[in-house]
Amino acid sequence: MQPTVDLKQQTAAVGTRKQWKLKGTWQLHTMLLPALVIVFVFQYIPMLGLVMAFQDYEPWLGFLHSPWVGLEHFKTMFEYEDARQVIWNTLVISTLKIIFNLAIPLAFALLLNEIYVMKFKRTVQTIVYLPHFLSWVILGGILIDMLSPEGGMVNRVLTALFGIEPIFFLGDNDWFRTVVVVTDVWKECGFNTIVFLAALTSINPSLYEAAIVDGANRWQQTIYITLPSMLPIIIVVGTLSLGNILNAGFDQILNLYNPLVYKTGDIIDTYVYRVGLLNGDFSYATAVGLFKSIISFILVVTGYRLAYKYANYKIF
Amino acid sequence: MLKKVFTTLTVTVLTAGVLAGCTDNESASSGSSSESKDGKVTITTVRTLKDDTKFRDGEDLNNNPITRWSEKELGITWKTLWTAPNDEQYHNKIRLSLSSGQKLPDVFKVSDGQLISDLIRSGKVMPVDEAIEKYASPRLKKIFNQFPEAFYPATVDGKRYGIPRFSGGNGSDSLLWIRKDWLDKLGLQPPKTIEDLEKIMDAFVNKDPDGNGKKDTIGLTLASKNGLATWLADGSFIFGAYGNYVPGSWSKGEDGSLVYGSVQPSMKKALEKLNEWYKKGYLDKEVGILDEQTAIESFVSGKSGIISAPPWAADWPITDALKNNPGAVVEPYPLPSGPDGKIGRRGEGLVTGMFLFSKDFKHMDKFFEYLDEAFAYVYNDSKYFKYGLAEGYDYVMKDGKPVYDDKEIPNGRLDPGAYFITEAIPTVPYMLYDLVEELYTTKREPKNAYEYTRIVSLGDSFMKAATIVNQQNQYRIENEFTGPPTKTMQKRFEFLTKMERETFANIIYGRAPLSAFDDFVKKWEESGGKEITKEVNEWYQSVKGEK
Repeated sequence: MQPTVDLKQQTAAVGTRKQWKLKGTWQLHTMLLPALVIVFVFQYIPMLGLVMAFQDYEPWLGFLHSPWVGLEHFKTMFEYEDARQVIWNTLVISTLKIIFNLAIPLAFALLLNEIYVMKFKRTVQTIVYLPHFLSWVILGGILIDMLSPEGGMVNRVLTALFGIEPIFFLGDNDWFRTVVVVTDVWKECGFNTIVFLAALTSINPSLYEAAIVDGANRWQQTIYITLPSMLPIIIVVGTLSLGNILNAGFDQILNLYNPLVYKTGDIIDTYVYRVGLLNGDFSYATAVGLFKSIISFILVVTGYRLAYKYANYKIF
Repeated sequence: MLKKVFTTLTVTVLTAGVLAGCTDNESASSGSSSESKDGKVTITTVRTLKDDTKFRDGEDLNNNPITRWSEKELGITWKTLWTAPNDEQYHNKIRLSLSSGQKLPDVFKVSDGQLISDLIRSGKVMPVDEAIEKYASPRLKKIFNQFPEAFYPATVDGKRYGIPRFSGGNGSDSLLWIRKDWLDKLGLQPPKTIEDLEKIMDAFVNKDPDGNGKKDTIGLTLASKNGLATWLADGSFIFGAYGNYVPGSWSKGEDGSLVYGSVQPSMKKALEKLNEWYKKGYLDKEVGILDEQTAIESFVSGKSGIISAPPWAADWPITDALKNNPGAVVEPYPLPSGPDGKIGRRGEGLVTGMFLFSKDFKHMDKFFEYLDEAFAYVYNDSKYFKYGLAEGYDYVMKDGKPVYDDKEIPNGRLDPGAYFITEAIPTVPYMLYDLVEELYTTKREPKNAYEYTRIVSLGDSFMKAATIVNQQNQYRIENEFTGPPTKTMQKRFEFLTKMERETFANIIYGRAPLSAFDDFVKKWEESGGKEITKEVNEWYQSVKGEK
């Protein structure tokens, strides 16, 4: 008898507290409202359009009256070898990107953290961060010039230093993925570096002091204090990028690829762009897009669970 | 207290702002044609408005010399409901209003084949056969009869649903532009055949035409990323020299049906040549990754001696090449012939869009009257436009004589032609270059602003090039499939195109043997190509049949 009453009382208490909370903060909640409305209108309502993926969409019939075709578009996707190839290309390129976009900024942040000349550190940080703001359209042109086998900067350096024949980086299936990953890391590593640097500053200095007292050298400090303390942020960055595993970088590929490297460089997004926009097959393009989103969703959820289980860290 | 009031106020303002953004301004934009008692009509339209279309102060699409003329002389008031800066956005907007069931404007131009087909099938646009019969002037009828295929993009079940907006016909067809100074320096004659061309390219590569002591020049500038038959740095003439087909075009085969150029056996010889040229260094090492804009760099920077480009290249990019390379002379030459005397080039399409009409539109007579008057000007037969379209825009009168020079016109010359619903002074295929040829060969004075601004002011080089292109008109290989993508095309054409580009590039680079072409043709047929060819010909039969 007694426990039940207790529970009721507790519930009531919680209830009133909640009510009281809302009373004091309703203005804040109302201020949130416009944002929610916008998200609903521009993010959730358009999702209804996804039904196109299961239809033979005809614009003038709209998705209310277009004929249903079930999973046909999804079948098409796996039937044709070209679709399978772009899925494979996407996975390879984006996996490489995820790994290197975690490892290199991390290493870079650790190294940068060891520098005590603030001015130098800041300057390097800014310079590394700069390419992040350039668009791929511009970089595409610059890279084509730099990587040119006819007097491109990179090839000239390679020839001068190692005496090797000029390499046609953007037209060679053996090199294209490497170029894509390296240039992407170069462009984006500044951003993650800053995230990691921020995490580094939040590590409690007393941990290091204790370690020094215990006789740990710099390397040991990094292994036993810095890295474990940074694990949560590494996991966050990693999990968030898992959601992008099927986004191998549309802008970048579109500006760099060409018929010579379709075999290794064509990815889902460029494929959808050509099929959907250039050939006008909206339904099929939507089906591929939906497939992409579902895979990303599953990966994000899995990443979230794993992070919680193994690192005891909740992202959301 | 004050704080609370402030918070509440902020919240209200923010929320209201967002909600206001959502309200529909529909009522303001829906308009339709109407006729007042005195025979004056209002016609609604929408169009693309490119950034380079300029107006005099205070004027816009609904108020300019052309609309004022149309209102005063023809009794037509044009109402442009909205504009978009480019075709893509424009078509998206129309597609949106189609799928959301909004009312279509009275008259509007569409150049996307799929969208034209969607609009026709939606039943929201009307057939125009009867209207042409009833209202089109003899002049218009003559033009329409001269180019029946111009109606194909909007022909369904034997009914015509649109009026073509004609292109210049051969306006963007290519010819050769060669560095004359290099030819002279090396003592070479302009090429008549592909063989001549090879000798020239060889000399351009090996005999140091730019005299810098380095072997850093190439023979021919080509763009291949978007296909070898294209609008600039065009390679179609190489294919045309070996057969009657160019890559990427559906043209008539031996039995009169449409066949796809890229899979014809004659491609093979041209590809073999290209591979040979690549190996010998005649082509840019990076030719496989160059699109039209990046390809021209070699010519502009003075590293290349030959480019195949349309007559308008005289302005861009040739002038850039002249600017960058002091002493450079670039001259236009006819396309060379192949071993069997064959010449062929990619021919530009005849239309750049179709005018469609809302099924509620009632004033086709007025539309044709307007169109006829616009055409009258280019035929030098207008009762309204004697010297130009509007004084103070494309000409001024000085001492009773028209003057067309930019500098003489206060605030500079403007082209009121852009204010017509045709978005430019209307044209008929081949007419412009016919006129250029006449002006160039007779050296007569221009009679009106059109002849001056479109032809004479563009200079001698352009006129010579256009004349050459016009004299090679019989070698045009046109893409005759102008319908919406067929069913199998939608599903498979992307794959087929990708395979084509890949195969061609690999053969040119020597990464695949020439026999890869045969494998490609076989696979092309098997992976939907055969089906597509059948569908394309079904379409062709359906539009060619009874009008």
